[in-house]
Amino acid sequence: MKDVSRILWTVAAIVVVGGAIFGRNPHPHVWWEAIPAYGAIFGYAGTYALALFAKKLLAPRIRRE
Amino acid sequence: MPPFVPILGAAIALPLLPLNLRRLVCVGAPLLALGLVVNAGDGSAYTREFLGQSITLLRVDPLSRIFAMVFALAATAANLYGWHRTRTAEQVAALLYAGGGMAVVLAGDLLTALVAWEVMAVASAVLVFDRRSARAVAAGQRYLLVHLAAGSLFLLGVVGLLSGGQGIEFGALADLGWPAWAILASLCINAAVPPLHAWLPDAYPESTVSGSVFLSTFTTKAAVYCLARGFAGSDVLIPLGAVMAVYGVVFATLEDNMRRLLSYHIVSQVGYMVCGIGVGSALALNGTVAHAVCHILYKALLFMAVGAVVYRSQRERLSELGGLYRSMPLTLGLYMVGALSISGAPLFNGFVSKSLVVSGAALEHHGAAVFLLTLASVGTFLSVGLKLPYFAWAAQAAENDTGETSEPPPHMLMAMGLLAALCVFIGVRPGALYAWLPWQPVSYDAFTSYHVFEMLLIMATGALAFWQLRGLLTPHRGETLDLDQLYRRPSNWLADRFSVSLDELADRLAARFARLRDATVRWVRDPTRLPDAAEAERPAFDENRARPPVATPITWILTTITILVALLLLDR
Repeated sequence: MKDVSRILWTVAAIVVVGGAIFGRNPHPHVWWEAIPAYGAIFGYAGTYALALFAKKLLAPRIRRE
Repeated sequence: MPPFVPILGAAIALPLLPLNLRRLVCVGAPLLALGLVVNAGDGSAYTREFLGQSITLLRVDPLSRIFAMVFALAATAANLYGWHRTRTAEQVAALLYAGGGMAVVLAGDLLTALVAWEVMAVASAVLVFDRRSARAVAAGQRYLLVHLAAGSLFLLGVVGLLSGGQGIEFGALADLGWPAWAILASLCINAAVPPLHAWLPDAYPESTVSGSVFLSTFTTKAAVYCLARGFAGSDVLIPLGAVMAVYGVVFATLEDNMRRLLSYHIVSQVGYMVCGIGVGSALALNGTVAHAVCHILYKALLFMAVGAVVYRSQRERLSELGGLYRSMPLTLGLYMVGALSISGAPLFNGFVSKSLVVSGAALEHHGAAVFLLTLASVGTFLSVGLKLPYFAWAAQAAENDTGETSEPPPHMLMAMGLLAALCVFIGVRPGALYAWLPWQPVSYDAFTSYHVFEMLLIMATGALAFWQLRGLLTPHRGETLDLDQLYRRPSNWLADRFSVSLDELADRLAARFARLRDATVRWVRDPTRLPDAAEAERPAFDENRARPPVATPITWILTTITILVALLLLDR
C-alpha cells in the first residue's frame, strides 16, 4: 500500500512540474486557466470536494442502506 | 432506399427465421444500413402529402448522416455482443429500437420523427421488460409511462405548430412560441435533463446485459440530435447542461450498482452535449456531435464490459465483487479503454471530443459552464476510471465471492474489441472524426501541450486523492433516492385521493351483482313480497354516500374547462 502511495505521489509531482513548465495556457479564456498547473488543483481538490459532498453530506440524507 | 428500412424489415422478418439465421440478420442488417448511410448523398427523399402536410421520411445532411452512421455502427456491435440471445422478442425489440433511432435522425419532419420516436419508446421498454424480474417489470412500466408522457408533449407541440399554420418541417424550432417549449420539454425528458432524468438510472440497470448496451446508445443521443437540430443556441440549455454534468457524477459517486453508476454517467456526459448545443457556436456544436459519437462508442463499451461481469458473476453490485483481475483480465483491459475514453485521457476518443465542447464554451466566455464541465471531468475519472475498476477488479474479493468467473464468450470480446479499437483510433487520429462533423472546416488541434497537461494533471492528482479516500468511497449495499421522489410522493397522494383501485371497483361491482341476484331470486319465489324485500335491502340513508365529496364535481368542472381551453387554443 505504501508503495502505491509513493508511486502516485511521484507521478503527480512529475506531472505537476511538467504542467507548470510546459502546460501553460498561452490564451486563457477564464481566469483560473492562467494559474500554472491549475489542473492539479481541479484534480485533487475536486476529487476531495466531490467525494466529501457525496458521501458525507448527501449520503446520510438520500441513501438507504 | 432509406437506411433504416433494412433494420426495420429485418425486425419484421425475424420471427420467421431459425435462431442462427436470426443472429446473422441481427448483425448484418445494421451493417447494411451503415453502408447505405455512408453512401447516401445529401438531400431529401420519400416526400409524401399527408393530411395536407409534407412528410419527408428521409433527409440526409451532415448532421443526420453522422448520427445515423454511429447508430448503425453501435447497433452492429451491440447485436454482435448479444449473439448469445435466444429469445426472439429481445432480438426484434433491439432491431426495432435501432431502426426507430435511425428513422428519428433521418426524419425531415416532426410527425415522422414522432412516430419513429414512439417505435423507439415501445421497443426499448421491451428490452427492459425482457429481463423478466419483478424489478425489471416495474421499472419498465415506469419507463414506458415517462416516455409516453414525453411523446404526448411532443405531439402537443406538433399539433400546436399545425394549428398555428407554422408547418412541421424539422428545422430550427426555438422561436416558434409555446409549441416549441412543449417539444423542448419532451426532448429534455428524453435527454434525461434533471429533474426529469430519474427514468434513466431507474430502468437501464434493470435491462438484460445486451439490452442495456442498446439503451445506452439511442434514446438520449436521439434527443441530443433533435436538440441540436431544433434548439441550437438556446441559452437555457447552457446551465441545464452544465448542472446535469455535475449532477450525474455526484450521484455516480454514491452508487454501488455498476450499471446504475454508468447510467448516471450518461446523464453527466449528455450534459456536455446539452451545454454545447446551448452555446451554439460552430465549435461547440461540432463538439456536441463529436462527443455524441465518442460517447456512444465508449459508453457501449463500458456497458458491455460491466455486462460481461454481470453475465459471468450474476452480480451487479461493487460491494459483492472484487479481485476479478485474476479471472477477467481481458475484460478489465477493454473496460479501461472505455474508462480512459470517458475520462478524457489523451490518445482516447473522449479527449478529442470533450475538449471541443469545453473550448467552445470557454471561447464564448461561459466561465461557470467551463468550471462545472471541468469538475464533471474530475468526477468522471473518479467514478468510472478509478472507483468502479478498483472495487470490481482490483480490491479484495467480497467474502461470499466463489471465484467462479471467467472471461465472457468470444462474441462479447469481439464486440468490445471492435469498440475499443474505434475509441483508440479516434483518439489517435481525431481528423478521421472531424472530417465527418457538420460544420466544416474544423480547424481545432486537441493535442496542444496545455490540453494534454491539463488532463494529465487532473488524472494524476485525482488518482492520488482517490487512493487517500478509498476507504470513504468503499461502496455499500443500498439504494439512492433521486429527485423523482419530489413528484412520485405527491403523485401517490393524488392517486389515493382521486382514483379507485381496480380491486375496490371489482368488490363494489360484485356486491351490486350479489344484491341484484338475491333480489331476483326472492322475486321469482314470491313476486308479491317484492316491495317488502326491496325495502329490507335498501341501505339506510347516509348523507356522505348520497352526496359525493365536493372535490369530485370540482375536478370534473376543472377538467372540462381545461380541455375546452386547450381545444380553443389549438383551434386558433
